[in-house]
Amino acid sequence: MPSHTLKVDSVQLEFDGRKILQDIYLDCSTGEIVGLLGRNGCGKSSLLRIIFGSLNCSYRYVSIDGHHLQKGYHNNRIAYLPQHNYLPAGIKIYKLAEPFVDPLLWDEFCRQPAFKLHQHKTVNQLSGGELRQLETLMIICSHADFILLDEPFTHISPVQADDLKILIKQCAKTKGVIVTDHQYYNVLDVSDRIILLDNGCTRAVNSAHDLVTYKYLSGI
Amino acid sequence: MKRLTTLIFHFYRPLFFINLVFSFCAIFDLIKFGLRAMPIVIIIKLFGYLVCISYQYFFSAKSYFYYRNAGLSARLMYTYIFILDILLFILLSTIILIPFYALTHLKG
Repeated sequence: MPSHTLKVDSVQLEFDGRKILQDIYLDCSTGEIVGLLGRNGCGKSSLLRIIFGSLNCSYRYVSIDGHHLQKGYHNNRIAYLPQHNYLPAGIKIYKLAEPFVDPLLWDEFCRQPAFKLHQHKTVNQLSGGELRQLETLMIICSHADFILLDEPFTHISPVQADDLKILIKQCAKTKGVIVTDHQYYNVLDVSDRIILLDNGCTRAVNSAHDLVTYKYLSGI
Repeated sequence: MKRLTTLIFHFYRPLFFINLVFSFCAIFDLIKFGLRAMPIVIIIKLFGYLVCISYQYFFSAKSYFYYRNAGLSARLMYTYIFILDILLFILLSTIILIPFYALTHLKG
């Protein structure tokens, strides 16, 4: 399996003259899980959407293996799990999954209870947690080389979160994963490396004490 | 190709009946006024597409992420379904108008 590297640099984002993102550098290679932490409103989701290509900003440089990407989602290079539900209503889940999931991962995907138990239902027939699990699973098993997960642990139970962490680690054997969530302990648990978004800048976090230093945590 | 076709049909599905209603309105004009109604037909179809985009934007814009994650932009999906709809409209017009004109011709 060839190795790829995603690089994000010089992102500048402003809302009403207020600088949200200004000094950003982020890289992620296939086989790696990068955790992205930050306070509410610091621009984590915006940064992921900029990388994905669904949010425009003043300036951005996103590349994979040195090749500039105009839109991250073109040619299935990057997949993104948004905070909201994204599956179209009124269509059977197996019909939605077939064109979406990577054929190489199809057997593994079909074994997952989140799909197996609900494949003949539509999204309206699932609970919030079941739908979140399914949507996350579909993103993880999509064609993309890089996976951006925005709050994948929200709306799911602790046991399901543990299962999801195993799945994310499996996925990271062949893909690069960037994950962000306010359940920082789950992010710390699953990630190989942590980046903190603070005042529009990315900061490398070497130990949990750094999170206290940067005032993301009040104490450990 | 099968994958793309499936995705196009998923996208077209909630908009099919809206487009069908506008297509029948346009065909009705063609029956009533003949080819003179062509500018009105074009306006009706364009208005139908505007209604489709508005409907999708207000009621299921979040599902754009499904298509983006499948590697296709919303703009591209709209282009595909509007081409598909034009082809369906031509087919529907032909099926309805040819027997209609033939009948009118026979009646003299």
